[in-house]
Amino acid sequence: MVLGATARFKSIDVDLKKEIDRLSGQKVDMCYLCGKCTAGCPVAPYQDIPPHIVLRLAQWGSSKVLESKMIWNCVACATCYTRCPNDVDVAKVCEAITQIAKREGIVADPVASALREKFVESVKNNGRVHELPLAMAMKVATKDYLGDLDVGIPMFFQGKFPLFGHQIKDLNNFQKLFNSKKAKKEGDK
Amino acid sequence: MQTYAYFPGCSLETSAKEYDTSTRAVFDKLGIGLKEVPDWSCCGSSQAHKVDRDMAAAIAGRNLVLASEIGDIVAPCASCFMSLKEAAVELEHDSEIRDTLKENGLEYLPGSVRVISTVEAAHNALEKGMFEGKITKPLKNLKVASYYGCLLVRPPKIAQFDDVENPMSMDRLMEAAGATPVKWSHKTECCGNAYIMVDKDMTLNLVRNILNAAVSAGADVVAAACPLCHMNLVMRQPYMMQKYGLKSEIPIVYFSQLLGTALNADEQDLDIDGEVMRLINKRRQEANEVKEVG
Repeated sequence: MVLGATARFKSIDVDLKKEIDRLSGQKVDMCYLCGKCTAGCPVAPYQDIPPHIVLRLAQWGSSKVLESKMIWNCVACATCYTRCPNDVDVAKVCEAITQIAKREGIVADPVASALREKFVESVKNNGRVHELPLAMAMKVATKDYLGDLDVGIPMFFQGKFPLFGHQIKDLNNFQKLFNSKKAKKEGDK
Repeated sequence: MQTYAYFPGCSLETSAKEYDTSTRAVFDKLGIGLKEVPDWSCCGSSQAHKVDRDMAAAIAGRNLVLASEIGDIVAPCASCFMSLKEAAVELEHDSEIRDTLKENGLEYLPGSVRVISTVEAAHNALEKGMFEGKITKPLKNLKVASYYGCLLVRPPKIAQFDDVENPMSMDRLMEAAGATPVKWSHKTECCGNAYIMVDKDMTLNLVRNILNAAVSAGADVVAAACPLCHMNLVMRQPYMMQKYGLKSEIPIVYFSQLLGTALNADEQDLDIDGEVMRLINKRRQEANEVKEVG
C-alpha cells in the first residue's frame, strides 16, 4: 500500500498516523494543540506551517503533512520537546514524516534533504566528517556557488578547511554499522 | 589523577582547532587528564538521526565502547555531547542496536560510560574547588554573555545538566575566571546549526537575534561551547550589520579560551584573537584604575 497516496486534505488515514507513531516512537494523539512548540520554535516563522499544525495533520493522518516544508527544516533544537506538557518529541515526529515523505517521493525541501544525505555520506566514506567537500556539495545543492567564498577562503588559508580529511583506521567495520539488521528491516518496508 | 576519555569531534580537528587546543590547555591546568578516544569516529551530529535513528545510535555507540576502556567520556562540542548521550540512552533500551555493535566486535555494557560536556566537567571541577589558587590572570571587568545553545541542556531528560531555561554553570565558570557574567535572554536560543548551508536567510535571522540580545545586555564578548554555534555567530557579522539590522559587531570566543586566559595557559594553545586580547587587557586596566581612584 502506498501511504496516503489517495488521501486528501482532512482525510483520515489511520495508517499514515500509525506509521508516523511507529517510526518516531511517539504518540501524536497525545498532542492537544496548546501551541507551546510553535511558540518556542526558532524556525517556525520561516516555514509553511507551524509545528503544532504538523502534529494536527499527523493526527488526521493527512497526506498534506508529507508536503510540508516545516518537517524538513526542523533544526532539532529540542525546544518543543522540552516544553511540551504531553511529552511529545516533535522533532522526532518531523524526522519520521520526512522519512515517510522521502519513501513516497515527496521532498518539499530538497536542500535540507541533501544536507542530511551528504552528511551521512561524508561520515560513511571516512568515518569522520570532511567539512570542505560537504560544504561544496551543499553549494551545488543550493546553486549558490560563490556566496560564501568571502568566509571560506580565509578559513582555508588559516588551515581550518583542510583539503584532505582524516580517515579512521577501522573504516571497514565502521561501515558495517550502516547496514545493521534493523536498518535493513526498515528499508525493506 | 582523574582522567576522562576525550572525544574531540570532527570540527575540532579543522574549523575549531582553537577549541581543541584551549580545552586541552584548561584541563591540563586543572590537573585533569584527557585521553583521546582511540580511532574515534563521527558522532552523527544533528543529521544522521534524521536519516535513521538506529544507525545514528550505532555509529555514536561505537565511540562509547571505545571510550569505556578509558573512563567517562567528555565532549567539548554540544552536538557530539548530545549525540553520544542520546546513544547511551538508546543502547540501554535497545538490545538490537547493541547486537549490531557486538557483531562488529564492539560490546557495549549498558551504564559503562557516562557522557558529559566539557562545560559540565569544568563546572564539576569548580565545585570541587579545583580552581582555587589557579586563577592568576583574572578577566577583571570583562562582561561575558555565556551562550549555551541548544544541546548542552536540551532535551533535559537526556542532557541532565543545569537549568534548561536559564543555565548558570558557564556563568559561574566565567565568574570564577574573574569576569562579569551578564544576564541576557538568548542563552539557549538556537543558532540554526548546519541549516546555515540550507537556508542562509533564516539562519542569519536567528543569529542576529542572539547577537543583538548579547549586545543589548552590554556584553563585551560572547562565550560559546560549540564549534557550529561559534562559526554561525562569528561568520557574517559585517554583512548582518548591513542587511539584517545587527546593532554592532561582538567578538565570539570559546569559553575554554577565556578560562585558559585566566588560568594563564599557554597563549599559543589558547589562540585568542589579538583584538579580543586587547579588549581583555583594556578591561583589566580599567578595573585597576577604578581601584586606584577608589
